[in-house]
Amino acid sequence: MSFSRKWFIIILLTIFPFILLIILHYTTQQSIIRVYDLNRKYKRPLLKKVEYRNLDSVYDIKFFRGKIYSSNFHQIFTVNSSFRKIKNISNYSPIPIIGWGFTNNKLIVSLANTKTLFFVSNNGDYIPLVKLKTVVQKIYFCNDSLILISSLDSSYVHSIFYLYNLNTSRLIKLNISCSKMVGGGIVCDGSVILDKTKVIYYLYHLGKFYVFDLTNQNKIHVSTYQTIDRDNIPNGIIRFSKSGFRMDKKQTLLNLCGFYFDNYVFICSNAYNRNELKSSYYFNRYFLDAYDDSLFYYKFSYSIEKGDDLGNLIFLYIYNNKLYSIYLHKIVIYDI
Amino acid sequence: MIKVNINVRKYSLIYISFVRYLILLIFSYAFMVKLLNYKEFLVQLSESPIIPSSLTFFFSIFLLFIEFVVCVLTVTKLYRLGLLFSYSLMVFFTIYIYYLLHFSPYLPCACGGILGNIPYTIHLIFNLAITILIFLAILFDESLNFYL
Repeated sequence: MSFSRKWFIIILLTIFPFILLIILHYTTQQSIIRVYDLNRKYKRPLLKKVEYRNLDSVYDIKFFRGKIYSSNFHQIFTVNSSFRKIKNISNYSPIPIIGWGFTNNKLIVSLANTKTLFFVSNNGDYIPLVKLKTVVQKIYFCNDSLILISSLDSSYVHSIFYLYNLNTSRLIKLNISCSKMVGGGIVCDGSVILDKTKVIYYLYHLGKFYVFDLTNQNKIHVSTYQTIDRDNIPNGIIRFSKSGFRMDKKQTLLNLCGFYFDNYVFICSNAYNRNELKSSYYFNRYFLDAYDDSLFYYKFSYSIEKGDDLGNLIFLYIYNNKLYSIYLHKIVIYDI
Repeated sequence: MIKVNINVRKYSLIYISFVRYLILLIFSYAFMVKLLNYKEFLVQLSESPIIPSSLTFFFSIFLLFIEFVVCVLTVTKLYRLGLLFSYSLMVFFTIYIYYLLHFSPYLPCACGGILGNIPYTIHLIFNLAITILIFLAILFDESLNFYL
């Protein structure tokens, strides 16, 4: 009698986890679909434009110790408050500058298709700082350390991550890698948002965030978050070809920029649903999709202007509660 | 005949003690790793495809609590309850890993330490092996017949 009771308890204890898992599976399926709301139900009004200035070949802006710095891919220079060039900081580089930033009073530069990182001397020369085994694809600054995204191949499909500490000159290969491949095609829209101790690397169509948390100088914590149900991304965004997925030709130079503000991660998105693609209202705006900074769930969307006279949006920056959106030849400043 | 029975009982008790201390080792290790890296554990749990984000905190506390309870039970006279709890928990962890491997688009695992770093298939085999060991311990424990 007691033996059969024992079996009853064992069977019950075996079945219970299955029931629990099935309940969890069905309850969370609903919330997964809500993670990214492609219908943009939570749209907020168009941001208010406060200033509008013409630019001469400014591609990105960095604020460092009260000065504004900018680059035109070949040179780094200081600019005035109207974003006009004042003084060259680095000499002209025939190889495009793909990443630059200040740390420990040093201006660190990464040049395209090179395996070496440079710092800029007082007379503007590029002095080698560290040599890697692979080509540096992107470089991000995080306190006294640099997070380097390096490509294992010329097609930039497989990326590996390094951490370089400027104080100790230690180069650590991080135990992660990513493949920018979706069904055979390359996802070329990696994007990054910087915080003082955090770097958030974002692959849009893979729906993936990589968060590098550098709270301790000797230890970096890397978390990954899958946020977008990729099957929900409409066909208008990615077209299928024999070689796999490709970005729609009409929507190329986007998703490359983002920023971090007020505990939200903003990504400039080119994911429009079918109805939005038909409407000029949507087509004349860039959407800045906001995700919370803890679990990277989609929250709401801001939008900014997209005019023919502005050209492509290249870079977004937050400074003094203002959003600086840099287009090919113009800068538009919004209140946020 | 009586001697054979005594021997069987003796080996059963040795086996059950072995499983008790194995459970204690595994669960106390898992508990400590999760507790010491609680923030990391919370993040990993939040990545789980089947745990709603609103319940992440609750689940983390519940898991820690149940692991702690299992550890305490295995070293007390109530170790039989510890065996039953740990069996159910290991069944859940095993099917959860199986679920992640077969149904999840990505593989987040909230197991800390060594277990968090081993490949998922090995993790699954390890969990399955531990589950079977506990199951056998429950079967061999004759006193559990009276207990239940």
